[in-house]
Amino acid sequence: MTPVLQLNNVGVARADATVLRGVSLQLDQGQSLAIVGCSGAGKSTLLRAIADLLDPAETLAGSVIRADTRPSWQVIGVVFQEPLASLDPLWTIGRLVAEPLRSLGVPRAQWHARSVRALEIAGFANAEHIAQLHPHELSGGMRQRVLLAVALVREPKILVLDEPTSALDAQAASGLLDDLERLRRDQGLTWIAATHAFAVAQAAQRVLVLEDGRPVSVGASADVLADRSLPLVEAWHARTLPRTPPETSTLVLEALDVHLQHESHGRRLQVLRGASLQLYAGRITALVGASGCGKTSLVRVLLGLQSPSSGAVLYRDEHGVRHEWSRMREADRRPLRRAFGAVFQDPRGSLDPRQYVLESICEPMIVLDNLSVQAALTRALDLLRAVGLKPVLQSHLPHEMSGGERARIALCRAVAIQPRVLVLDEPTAALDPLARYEFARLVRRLVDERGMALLLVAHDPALVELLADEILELKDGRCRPLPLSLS
Amino acid sequence: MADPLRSLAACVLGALLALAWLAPLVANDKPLWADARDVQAAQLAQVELGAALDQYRTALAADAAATQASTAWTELERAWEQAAARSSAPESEVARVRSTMTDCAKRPERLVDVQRLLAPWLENLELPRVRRMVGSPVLASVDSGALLRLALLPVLACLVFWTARGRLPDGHRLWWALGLAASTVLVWVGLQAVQQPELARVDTYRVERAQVHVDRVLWPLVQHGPAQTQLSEAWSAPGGYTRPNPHWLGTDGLGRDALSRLLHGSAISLEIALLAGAVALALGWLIGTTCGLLGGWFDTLCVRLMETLASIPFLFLAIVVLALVRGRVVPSVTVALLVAAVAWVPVARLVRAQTLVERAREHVQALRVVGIPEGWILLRHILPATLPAAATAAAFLAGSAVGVEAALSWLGLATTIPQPTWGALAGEAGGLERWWLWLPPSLLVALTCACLLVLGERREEPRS
Amino acid sequence: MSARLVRLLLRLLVRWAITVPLVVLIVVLAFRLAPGDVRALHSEGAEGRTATESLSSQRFAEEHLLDASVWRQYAHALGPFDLSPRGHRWFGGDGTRPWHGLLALEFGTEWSRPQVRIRDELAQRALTTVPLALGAFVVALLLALPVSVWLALLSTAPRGRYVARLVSTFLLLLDALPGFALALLLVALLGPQGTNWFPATGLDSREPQLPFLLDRAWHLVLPVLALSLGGIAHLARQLSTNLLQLEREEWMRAARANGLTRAQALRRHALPHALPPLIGLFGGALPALVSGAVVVETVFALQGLGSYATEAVLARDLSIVLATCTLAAVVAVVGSVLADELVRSLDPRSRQGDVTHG
Repeated sequence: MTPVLQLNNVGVARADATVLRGVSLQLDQGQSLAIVGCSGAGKSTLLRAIADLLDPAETLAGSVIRADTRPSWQVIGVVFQEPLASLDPLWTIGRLVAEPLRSLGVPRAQWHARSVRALEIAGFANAEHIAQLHPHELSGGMRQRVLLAVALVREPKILVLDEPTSALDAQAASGLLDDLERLRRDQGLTWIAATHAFAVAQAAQRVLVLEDGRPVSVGASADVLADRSLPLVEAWHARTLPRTPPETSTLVLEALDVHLQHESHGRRLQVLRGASLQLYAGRITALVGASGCGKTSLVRVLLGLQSPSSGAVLYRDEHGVRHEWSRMREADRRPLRRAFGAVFQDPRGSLDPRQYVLESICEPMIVLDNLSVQAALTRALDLLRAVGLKPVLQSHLPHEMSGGERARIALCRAVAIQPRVLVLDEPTAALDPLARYEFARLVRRLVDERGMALLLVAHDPALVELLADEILELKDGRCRPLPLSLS
Repeated sequence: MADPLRSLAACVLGALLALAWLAPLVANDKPLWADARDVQAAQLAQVELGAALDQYRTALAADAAATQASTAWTELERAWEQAAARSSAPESEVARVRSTMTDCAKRPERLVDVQRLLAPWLENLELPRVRRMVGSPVLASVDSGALLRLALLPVLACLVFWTARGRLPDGHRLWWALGLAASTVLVWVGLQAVQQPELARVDTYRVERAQVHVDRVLWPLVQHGPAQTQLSEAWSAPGGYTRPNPHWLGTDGLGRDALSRLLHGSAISLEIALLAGAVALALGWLIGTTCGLLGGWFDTLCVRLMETLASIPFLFLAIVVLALVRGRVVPSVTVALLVAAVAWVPVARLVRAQTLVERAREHVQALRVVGIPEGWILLRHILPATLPAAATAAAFLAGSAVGVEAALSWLGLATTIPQPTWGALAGEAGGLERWWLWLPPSLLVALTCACLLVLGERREEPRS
Repeated sequence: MSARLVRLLLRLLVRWAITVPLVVLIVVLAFRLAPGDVRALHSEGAEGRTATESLSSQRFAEEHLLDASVWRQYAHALGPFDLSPRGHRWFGGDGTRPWHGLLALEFGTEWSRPQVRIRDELAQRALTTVPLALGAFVVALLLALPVSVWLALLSTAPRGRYVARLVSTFLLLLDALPGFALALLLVALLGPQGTNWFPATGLDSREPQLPFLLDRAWHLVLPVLALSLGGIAHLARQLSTNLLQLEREEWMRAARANGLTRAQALRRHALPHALPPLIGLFGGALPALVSGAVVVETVFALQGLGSYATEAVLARDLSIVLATCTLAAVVAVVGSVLADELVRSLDPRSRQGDVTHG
């Protein structure tokens, strides 16, 4: 039986560089493949090469041979990465799903029926109703399914998915993978997914690992995923990091029974109802909870950016003096603030996009420590070396760097003035597993070396598992501890 | 500047600015440099000397009171000093004549001696004896308004260049620009100060009529001045390029050379456009940032005001506001300020929106957490972030200002002094047939406006 | 549906209530501050005026409140009560002409020609300017869309890129050319001294060879073109840039993946996205059109509102200037509010807020 898809030494070049090279594989009907690798490894590019969707600026080397010789968009269904961005916000779902039918030449009378059927296959129970809505009216998981329906409506032989689970929570992701399996078994659909999520790689039959545009490993998924020599696989399997607990743990920052109200559209919301937590030097406390439950508000209260309506935040400085952090005046707080540090969520938020990265790092040192520019520069360069970045970055702007590098720069800036309390708010949300693992190792090392009290606010269960000494869940405005193994 | 179109626009605009800055040196009825003799002045002095001598002689012959004779003598002495000043006689001879004259002062009987002494001075002064003037007549005739304009243009050129690059210059480069402007003024003033003031009399008219004799001369490219009228050649179309000193672009109703007026008017037009853009930038940026930072009732008030101003048709408003100005002849700066006074609204809107966004940015929060003072954050992070967008908006505005000002002056509502702008020049055409009068200024307006529009288009933020 | 209409009207009224009094204030202040003696221009003793057809200087000043306080002038200009000696009884007048001002739509008579009522003259001149501006508006809208789509398509084709660059530059120069130059060029090329396809002056021919409306339209062709070409060039460039930027959006790629050709994808997906900001631009175009009409009316010797305002400013006639400026502002506000409404209705995201069904 001829393979449904065959790639011979496929490569993709853009004007300035070769993005992909030397990829050869073949797939039979009814097989599934996961293309894995870090960000920038070339996964999406390979996918686009397979689906014949390269940009005008990119040139293809080698050959992509399909068994079915009809135009590619009739044979291959593509499910894109960002569901909200991939669906034209001005159109209804039904119209969006039916769009390929127009180009296929299917008579208009059949469009509605076929699009509803595609929605059902994709897993919607009330497909008729969904077809009337607009994309912004659906949740993220549902939008992903709509994309699936759009791809399936043309009854393709091959389904290509780009990071299908990145916007989904665990439950929705497993549901999607079950659907894909069902389609593969019942309808002989061949699916190819580009991903850096472990679950997807596990669900596929075969795995191809890309590193810097080159394939480094290909084979059955069970074999590839057991090969610990690949850094990505290593990062996937890592569960916890080795840690050295400090001899004495001093209480640095404490929130006592904090209440906070929030005014929105004329209504009062009680965001925090007696939340309490303690941060100890040299320990990492993780704060988890559903999105919108108030984690950011609690962080703002702890950092002194917002006053609680009742309750107190107490801070003990390096001399052991206790301050009523939440009740002090800003003028009194300011000299003490340098003991705090915060790294907020990327992608572009935590660094000033117009400032060179070295300047960003030096700035707090120059302003708060009164260091001369020369001294600040030396310290900054030392820090950059310590976190594993090349010091040549001084004339770089943030957008010229990768997500992982930016996260490390933000961390450098935060620890440059040697804070005692550090808050990390979703620092690895935009990072692939390998970068996340590297970042976690860095954070652990810094905490152990400097004895900081670290508060980690995160959605990502893998990160929490790697780093946390203690886990607190914010639910109904209160913090309750969670056992470490159940993250 | 990755985009070739932007680079081209910046180059063209720079070339226009350079041309405007050099206009007095490119098109002028005075030479750039001349080694000349003012024959007419010398002849006038000679005539006066003769008249004074006759007067003295008559006074003596009439045998009138001594006072009359002594008045005539004083007059004679003065006339002779003037003739001596305008001659190139050696100092020794002048001293000799002077001492002899002093001897003959109160002695009517020495009249004959005086006559014989002054005889060579009354004959046709040989050319070598007429005083030489060496230097630059152009520089000698530059006035203070022109000097100010010459100083302003390099600064404006720098602004254009920085807008094209899309990034604020570092602090020290601003000082460089100011230094450039100051040195420009100093150079012009310095060069002017070393010229003899009489050089201003050397021009094509007087050379033609042999009132000034030039030994060596360096004429500018176009030997016509913007204010040189020649009624016999009024309304002549471009042509006659084989003649000496042709009118490359024809003449207007008073016989003034159109090309020369075009070049001289460039300085005014460009100055108005760029000044309007700069003032609108400053005003709009100030108001926009204040609104964004203060919020509250001030913000609401300003937003309503801006909405109102935006919904009024601009030309109507300009027409009404121009009625404020005395008469219809206005200094160019006034026109620029008027245009800016209405045009600051889009800049302010943009800056306000940007300020609101920047205030809430996460990197600003991170700095606040650490305790960096609010003032530092404002000056180093928030305000500089708003400038590039505002600058490009101002460039766009300057482009529209060119068109608006051209329309206003074409309608005859604003005539600038001392030189008319491109729009006014187009308006002088007084009809469709005299295309050489309205087409070239219109094309220059279009070119300038197009360049500024290109520079003013938003550049995309760099994406990762 | 009717609730939306009511909301729209309310918004219109509010904007008018803010804008119009401010415009009146600016005009009144400008005239107060302007130098030169107004009465000398218009009253007895001025050039070309006989004693019978003009009032004495004293009565002229009283009649038009030239010596009154700024508040009185303002209230008189805004209306609806007439505050002159012959005005409403409540304010000390004798009641012959009780109403005056913008709110009463009564502007009195022209200062230079007291036999002409401003309101009548306005109406007549509006009949010239309104078809002109509207015609230009419609032509701009109709022509800008296809030109911009064609330009966007051309610039993405491999060999069409340089042609597209050239066309874009040509459009840029057309946009940058000042209004009067464009008008003069059109007349030179297509008017009596050129190919003589269209007339270049006035609205009516002396010996019309076509029925009245067609003759009018034939006379309006060049002025409408002169007014709209600049706008078309600007919009087409703007729109094609927007379209090209939109082409990099994810959902455009998705549309291409669904089998649409690039042209189809641009037309069906990108264009509806690029339209709303452009319609917003249109709202601001109305004031620009009214301004541009001033120049066009002068070139083509049309008796329209624009030339009315210009002549009035030169003649220092406050009543006419007030009437024309406020009329222009009123129209501009209508355009802007309608444009906002249109933009709102085109984008379903702004209709009911974010209601998630998930």
